[in-house]
Amino acid sequence: MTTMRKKENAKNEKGFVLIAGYLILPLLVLLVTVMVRYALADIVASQRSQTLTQALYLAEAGVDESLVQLRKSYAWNGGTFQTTGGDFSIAVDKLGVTRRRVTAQGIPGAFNGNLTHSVEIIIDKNIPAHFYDNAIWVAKALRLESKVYLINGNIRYGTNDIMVGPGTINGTLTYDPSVNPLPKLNFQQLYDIASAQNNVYDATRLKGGPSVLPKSFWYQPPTDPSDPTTGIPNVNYVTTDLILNGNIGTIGGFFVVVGNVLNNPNAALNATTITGYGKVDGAVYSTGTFAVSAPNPPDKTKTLSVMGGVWAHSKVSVGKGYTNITYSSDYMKAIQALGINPGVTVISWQDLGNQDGS
Amino acid sequence: MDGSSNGFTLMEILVATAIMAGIGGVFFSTLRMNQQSWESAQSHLAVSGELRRGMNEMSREIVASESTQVDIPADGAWYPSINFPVPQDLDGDGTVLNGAGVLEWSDPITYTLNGTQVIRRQNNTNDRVVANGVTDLEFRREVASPDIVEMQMTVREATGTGDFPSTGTITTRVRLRN
Repeated sequence: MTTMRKKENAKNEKGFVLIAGYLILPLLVLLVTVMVRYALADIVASQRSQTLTQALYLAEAGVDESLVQLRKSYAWNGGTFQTTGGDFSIAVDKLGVTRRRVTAQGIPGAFNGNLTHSVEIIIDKNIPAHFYDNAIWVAKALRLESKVYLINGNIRYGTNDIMVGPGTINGTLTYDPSVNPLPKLNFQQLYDIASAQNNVYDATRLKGGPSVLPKSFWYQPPTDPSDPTTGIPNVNYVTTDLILNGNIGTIGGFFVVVGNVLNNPNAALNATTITGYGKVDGAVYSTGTFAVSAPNPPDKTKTLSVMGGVWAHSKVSVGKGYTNITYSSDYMKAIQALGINPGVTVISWQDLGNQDGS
Repeated sequence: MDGSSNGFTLMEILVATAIMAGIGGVFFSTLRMNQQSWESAQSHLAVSGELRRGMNEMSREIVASESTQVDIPADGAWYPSINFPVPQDLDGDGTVLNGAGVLEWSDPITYTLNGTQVIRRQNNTNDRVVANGVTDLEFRREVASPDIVEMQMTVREATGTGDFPSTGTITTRVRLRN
């Protein structure tokens, strides 16, 4: 009897497993569904973030591409480019004779083609009036710290970030926001001239110090001494920072300190730094800072002179020692006579943000 | 024989209970470890997410400014907040340049730490929270590279029970484009 009851009970318990299964299964399904939904939401969010970052990079690539194309031909009006990481389209609008507005749109496409990102730049291709008329042309900051500096010529500066100590300025000091940023020159043209003169200087060559640089402004002195445009200046093209220390003696020419701009549209700004004394017989154009520090305490026998003029983008800084920057109209005329064309200068950069086309 | 199949001896119950207790202990300690690991991972994710979100938002805006417009000096020192404008079409002519071809600038934007929140402020009125759980926020510019702003942010986050707080620091360098 007992054995029979047990068998009957065992038969009845088979149904219980099914009921338990029905109770547990929906709970498991619910749990898994919630987990999958969380995971999917994370994946979608991270993919969207990745896509938008990709779109920004593509837009920046579009800006770089537009600069390359517009340097080749200023009549270029844009187009669409495909890369392995997505596409970018570039539109160029004319804003007057020398200005262009470039809008670059990054289109990743891989995850969601509707998500894009745009960047807008305004560029100019122009050498402004007064470019060759100044002892100092600085786009951004100006620091004249010395009590004993001497500037013979005009100073033109582009921002209010200035500090002018009680030295001597024999010329005008003009705030002109239009000088910011420093206008770009046709660096390929300058490189070609410098290369023909064997005056291209990289970091290795500059290890030789000031003695490797030309001693005079003139590559060929003027055939007519009364007309500086009949001479040819040394064009010293420097593909790195120009850093000189101690007694530099006399170095001469038109120093173009621009770094690797021919190969990299976003090349770092390159600085000219002279810590010492001697004479620069010529002019210096620097995409970064132009900083000179003559010996301090000031020693008149150890003066640092720049006899030509200076252009700099980031900052012109004159230290506490005896420093003399003198404008030379003859040298400027000779530089102008080289016929250097303007380069493409980026005046403004603006992030237009994401566009969700859906 | 029948009697013995109807129940368990005390010894059998004790042994079975001990085995069950052992298995249960291992099971719950594993569960607890998994929970801790989950909380720790959640905390790490929350920290890195907050760091990434905050830095992205700040750098996307700072990048459009200009070296002379940023208020922190280029002296290599760290500063707790930053003020800067961005280009803005103020005269409504469709470009960010004025008639003289000079950039037009917005009112200054501030990023600063308020308690444990990074706040974006403009015109002293529009406060917006950029990141939470922030214990440190600093900005600096080096003398040699005034056009590069370095930002450092530390986030401390405690999720779940709060037993497994996570701390993360991120440093980003942004080149000013204007």
